[in-house]
Amino acid sequence: MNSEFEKESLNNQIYRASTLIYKGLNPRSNPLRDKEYKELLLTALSSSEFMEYLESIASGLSLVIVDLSEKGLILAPRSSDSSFSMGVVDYRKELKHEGAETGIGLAAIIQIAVAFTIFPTDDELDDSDTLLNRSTTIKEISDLLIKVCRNIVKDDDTENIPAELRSTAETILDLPENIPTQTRPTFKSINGAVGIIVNHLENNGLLKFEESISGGFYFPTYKYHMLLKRRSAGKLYEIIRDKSNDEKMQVD
Amino acid sequence: MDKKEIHTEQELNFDDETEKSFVIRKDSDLSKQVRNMIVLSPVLRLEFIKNSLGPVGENLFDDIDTQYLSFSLFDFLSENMVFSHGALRKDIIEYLAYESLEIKKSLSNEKAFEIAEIVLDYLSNSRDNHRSFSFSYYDAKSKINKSRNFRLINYSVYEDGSGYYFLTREGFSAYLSMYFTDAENISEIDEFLVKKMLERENFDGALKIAKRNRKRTIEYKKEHEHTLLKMKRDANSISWVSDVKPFLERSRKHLSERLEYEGEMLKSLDRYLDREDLSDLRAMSVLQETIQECQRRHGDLHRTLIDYNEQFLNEQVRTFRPKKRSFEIKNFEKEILEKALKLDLNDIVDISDEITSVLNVPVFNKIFDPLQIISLFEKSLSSENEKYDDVKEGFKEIVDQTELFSEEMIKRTERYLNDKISTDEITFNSILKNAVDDGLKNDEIKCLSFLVLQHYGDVQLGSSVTIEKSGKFSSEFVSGDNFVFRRNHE
Repeated sequence: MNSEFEKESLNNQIYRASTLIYKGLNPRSNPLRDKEYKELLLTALSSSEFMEYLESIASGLSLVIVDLSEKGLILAPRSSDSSFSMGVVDYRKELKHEGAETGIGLAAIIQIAVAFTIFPTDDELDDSDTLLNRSTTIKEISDLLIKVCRNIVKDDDTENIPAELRSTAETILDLPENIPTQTRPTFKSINGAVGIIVNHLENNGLLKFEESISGGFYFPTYKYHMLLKRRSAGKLYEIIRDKSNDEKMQVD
Repeated sequence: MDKKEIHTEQELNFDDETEKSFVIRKDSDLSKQVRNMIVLSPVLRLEFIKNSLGPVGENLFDDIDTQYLSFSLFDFLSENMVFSHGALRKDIIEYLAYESLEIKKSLSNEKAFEIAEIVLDYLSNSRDNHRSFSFSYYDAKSKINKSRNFRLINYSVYEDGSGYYFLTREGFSAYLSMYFTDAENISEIDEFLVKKMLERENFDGALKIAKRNRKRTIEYKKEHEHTLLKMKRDANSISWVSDVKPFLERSRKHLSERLEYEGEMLKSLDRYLDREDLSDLRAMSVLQETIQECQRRHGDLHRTLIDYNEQFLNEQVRTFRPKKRSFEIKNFEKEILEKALKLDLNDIVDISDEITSVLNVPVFNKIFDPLQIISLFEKSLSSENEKYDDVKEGFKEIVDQTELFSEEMIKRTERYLNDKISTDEITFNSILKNAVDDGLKNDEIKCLSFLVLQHYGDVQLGSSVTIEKSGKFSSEFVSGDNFVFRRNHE
C-alpha cells in the first residue's frame, strides 16, 4: 500500500513538474490569472525535491531554467541544436534563400544591438533596483548600430579587401536606413530589420511597446532582463570570442 | 548678519496654528531641505518650458497650467496604486486629456490628448529614454556639489503583460509637496492638524487632512512593500543585524504610535457623533471611515512586520540561485557588439543561429496536422484584427467566423468585385492589386479574397461568369491558386 502511494506521489510530482515546464514555455502564461501556474511556482520555490524533478525534465527536453520566481518560469534552449531553439529563419522565411547572407548577418547583429542598447553595461544588467531601468526606440537602436559600425570602419584599411572578407560593419553600412516605399518592413533596410525584431521580441514577452505621439517606446520586461543577465550576455561573449579566435588562428 | 538672527526671524514668522517649534537649523539641514526640494524641479521646469513643447508655432500650452496637470497626474497614479500596480498609459492619457479640457474648454479632443501625452512623457523623462532625472545641489556637510538622481514616475511590465506607470518615493514626495521625504514626520504634523481641526469642530477641514494622511499611509505601505521585496530578492547580500532589524524596529515603533493616535482620534470622534446637526454628521462619518482605513492599513503593516522575521529567514532558503558567471565583462557594446561587427559576413552567418537561439525564448514547433491547415488559413487572415483581450476568468468568447466581416462590408465588396469582372479577362492577382491601388483597406481586401474563393465554388454563378484556375501567385494578403475571371457573353 505504502509503495503504491509513493508511486502515485512520484507520478503526480512528475506530472506537476512537466505541467510547470509546459506553462513556462508559453509566452502568455500569467501566474496572476492562472492559479495552477502560481501554485506550481510556489511549490518549486519551497521544495528542493520538486526543483530537482523540474531540472531533470528541463534537461531531458534540452532546456535550461534561467529563472524561477513568483513572476514565472523562464526557460531557454540548451543549445542552438535544441528543437526548441529559435533560428534566424524563424524571423522570415526568405532568410533561407541564396544570397540572403546580408539579411542574416543583419538579423544576428540587430538582436545583439537591441539587448545592449537597453543594457549597455554590466551594471545596468545587474541592477535589481529599477533606478537604472530605461526604454528604447527603433531609432535609438538604429542610430547606435550605425554609430558603432562607422567607428569600426574608419579604423579599417578597406581598400584592397575582397567582398567576402569585409567586416559585417561595412556590409551593414551599405544598407539603406529606410526604404520608404515598402508597406511591410523587411531585412533589406536597417530600420525595417529593427522593426521586425523588436516586434518579435514583444510578441514573446521580452519587450513591451507603449504607443505615444512621438512614435512610441519599448521597455524591457523582467523576462528579458533575466535572460540577458543570467544567460545571453555570458553565452554571447563566448560565441563571439570563440569565432574571433578561430579567425585569428586561420590567419596566423 | 549673524546666522542665529536669521533663524530667530524665521521662527517668528510661523503660523501659530502649527504650534510646533522648529529647532535652529544647521547648514546640513539646509542642504537636506534643498535636496528634498529638488524632486519638484521637473514639475517646475515643465511649466517654464511648456511653450517649447508641442508642435512649432502652435502655442499648444497657452492657458494650460501644467503644474496643475502634473499634480493631477500624481493624484491619479496614487489613487490607482491603492488596488493595483499603478495605471495604464491609455487610462492616464484619457484622464489628463479630460482635465485639460476642464482647464480650457475650447481645446479639441485631439489637442487635449496631445497635451496629456506631452505631460506624462515629460514627467517620466521619455525624452531621455525614461532614465532617472539628475539635478545637482550643494552639500554643506561634505562641502561639494552633489547630484541627486531620481524618477518621479516609473514603469514596469507585470505578469499579465501590461505595463503600469506608478509613483516612486520621490514622486510621492513631489505630490505631497512637503519639504521632508520622511513620511513619518509628515504624519505627525497632519495628525496634529486634524486634532486641532476637530477641537474647532471644523470637520471638513479635518477630513481633508485625514484624506491626505490616508494617501500617506498608502505611500508608507508601498515603501515598505518595496523595501521588503528588495530584501527578499537580495536575501543573500544584506545583513539581518545591520539592515533589516533596525528597519523593522523603527517601522514597528512608528506604526504603534500611529495606531495609538488613530485610536484616540476615533474615540474623540465618538463624542461628536451624538449630534443632531445632519451636515456635520456626514462629514464626521466620512472622517471616521477615513481614519479607520488608515488604522486598518497600519494594522496590516504592523502584523506583516511582526511576521517578517520568519519570512525573511525562509526567503534565504527559497531564492533560486543561478550559477555565477565565470568571467567579468563590463562593457557589452565594446566586448560583444563591436567584436561581432568586426567579424566578416561569412563568420556572422555561421553563428547567426546560435546568436538567435541565445537571445530568444524557446519556440514551439507545431506538429503537422492536415486538419489544422484550414484553421491556420483563417487565423492568418484574421490575425491583424485580433487583439489580445483580457479574458474573464472561466469564460472565453467563441469567435464566430461568419462575423469576420459586417453585412454591409460584404455587400459593398461584392459590388466592387462585380464591377471588376467584365468580358475581359482578369486574374485574382490583378483584382487584389487593383484593390490596393483603389485604396481599399486591409480588411476589405481580405473580405474580397474570401468572396473570390467563395465564387469559385459557387455553381450558380458559374453560368454567368467563367472562373478557371491558372497557376499560382503570392501576395501579402493571400497566396495559392490564381484564378482567371471572365464574364460570359449574354
